Amino acid sequence: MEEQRVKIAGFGGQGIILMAYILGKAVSIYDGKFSAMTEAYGPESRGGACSSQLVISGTEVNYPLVDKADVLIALSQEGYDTFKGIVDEGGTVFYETDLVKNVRHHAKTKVFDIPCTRLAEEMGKKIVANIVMLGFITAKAKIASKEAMLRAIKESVPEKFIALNVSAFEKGYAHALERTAGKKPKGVVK
Amino acid sequence: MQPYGNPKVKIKHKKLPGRVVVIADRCKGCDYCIDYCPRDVLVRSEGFNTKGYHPPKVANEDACTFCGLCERICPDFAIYLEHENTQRITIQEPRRKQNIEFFPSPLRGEFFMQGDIACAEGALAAGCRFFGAYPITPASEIAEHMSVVLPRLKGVFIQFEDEIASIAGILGASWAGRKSMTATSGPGISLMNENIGLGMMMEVPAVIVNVQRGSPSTGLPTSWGQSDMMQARWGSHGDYGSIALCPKSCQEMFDLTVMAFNYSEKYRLPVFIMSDGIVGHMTEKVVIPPVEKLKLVERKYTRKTADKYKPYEAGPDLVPEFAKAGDGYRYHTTGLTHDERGYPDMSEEAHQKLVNRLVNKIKAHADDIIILEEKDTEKADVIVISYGITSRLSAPAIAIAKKKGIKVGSLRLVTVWPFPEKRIRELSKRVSGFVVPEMNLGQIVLEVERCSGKNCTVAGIGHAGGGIIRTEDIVKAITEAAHGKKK
Repeated sequence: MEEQRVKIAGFGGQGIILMAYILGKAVSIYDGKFSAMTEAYGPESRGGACSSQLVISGTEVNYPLVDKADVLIALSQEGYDTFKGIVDEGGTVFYETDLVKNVRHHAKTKVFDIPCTRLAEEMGKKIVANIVMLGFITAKAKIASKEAMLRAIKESVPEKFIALNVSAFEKGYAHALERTAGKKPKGVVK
Repeated sequence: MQPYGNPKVKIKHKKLPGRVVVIADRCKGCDYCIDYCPRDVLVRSEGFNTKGYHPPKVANEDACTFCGLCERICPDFAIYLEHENTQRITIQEPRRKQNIEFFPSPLRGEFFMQGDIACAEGALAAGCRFFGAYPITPASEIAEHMSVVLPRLKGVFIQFEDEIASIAGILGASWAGRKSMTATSGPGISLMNENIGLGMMMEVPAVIVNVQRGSPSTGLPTSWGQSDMMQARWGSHGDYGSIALCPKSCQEMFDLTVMAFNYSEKYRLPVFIMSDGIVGHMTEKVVIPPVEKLKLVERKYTRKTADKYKPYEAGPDLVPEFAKAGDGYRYHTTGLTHDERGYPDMSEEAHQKLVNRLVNKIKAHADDIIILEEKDTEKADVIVISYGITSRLSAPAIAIAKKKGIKVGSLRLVTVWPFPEKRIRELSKRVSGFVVPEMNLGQIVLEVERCSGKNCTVAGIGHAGGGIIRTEDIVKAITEAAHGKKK
């Protein structure tokens, strides 16, 4: 398997690092592949620019950093602007519909916009926006299997929030499938 | 000194439950006890003690309330309260089913784990039950994890006021028989250096983790570097042998921590783990084996009787036997040059003997300590020498150079100190050049230059940290070395 390089960017507090952690855990523990995750953040605990990166491979990961990304997940305009340049031509970009407004990309790049914060707000908890995003990505990009992702989520979040996170994941996943079927996503006004 | 408070209140005198005892010869005449006694019980005595000071004496015993302030204030432990009918009460603790030293690590199996946490788990698996540190990015997660897990394993976690106290604390804990560790970054190591020398001189086993960041000074707190490599060798003043291990992955953060404990126990010295911000903050799969399957080296405790035991008498392996505090062996230990009994000895012979042994105990065992990871070195024209994360960062460059048809090998220093002089000298006679990429502006490259002499070219590729060495730069250096050009 070829290496897949994923970059996730956003604000501190959005769960950027947790996203990469869950993705990496699903891949390396439950899918039997290898992954290395690194993170970068500023001294602030909330609100500063934050990014995490994940390298996924069928063999042991040698070079752990992401200079050229196959997948970019942007949850903030700043994150998108900083890292849009490193996306490969044939790569994929996932971005937050409401937080990333100004999108310019290469014609060959696949682009998906996900209103994950809004979907999470519909569930009553804005903080699971990142997990909604993960659900969408699992359906659209072949990074990790759904079963592995669900197990990784259950292993990574506090026990009393497992149900919430799993339903958030399912919501993102279902949203992705609806998009594939060409339906207008339910409950989302764009 | 007069007591504070309302002087109209009369204090009822009871018969004292004991007496105040002065150990006259310990006194150095500071008069603290006299000054601070709230009831002016003590006065300066007329006579001298053996050191020539006037120790205090009890003049007004009736006024004494047995408050014990004199005992607490005395810096020399020369005054104390003796209670009547004092009985030494021994509380027998209920026998624990398992010895705390071998309480198993709580984790085993496969985990997606951060490097720092893998390091903490490695320490726990190796039997570390005392951790003292002051949090510092990027090593804070080690302390954080230890603070959660250690109390559950009946271990002790202390967040000290600073790094100076941290290193002193772990040396003390180790002296009492606990495997101990501290974790910090460059600025912390700078503070620790004096007591690291003390640990080397007193020969106390301990593990010091340095998750390196961009330096000097506060540098780049949330980023990475490899610029403390020489500090691990020459950081504290004076000559001593030093051991430093460089992990490149989260799995190695676990494995090498176990190994560091083994080395420190075997050779009786503080051992460094020179990690860096990338490895410390990277998350990867870590396989933790059951404790029974780990190869652990335990401390060499003496079997000699108390009268025959000399704490710094070393056998042919140059490592003295250990007796921990509380074992019934009473001896002195000091940072001063000492003889085999541990007492200060200011003679030239004693100093020569001691310092030579401190250096030679590592030199003599260098072959056992040094671990190298070699790949395609046998037929190589150019060898890339790297350590820690740089070995992974230079992998793409090696692949590109191989595609160009250059015979490139790689040599990774798992053990950086003691430096693998022998092997590098040997290789230098065979290859046309060494390339040494590192995330500092040239530290280990100096050692490589020293060992290879004029046998081959040595090109260092420095980077001050905070970013990564450009692959093109490494490829260029490899190509130049292959064509025998001197950089």
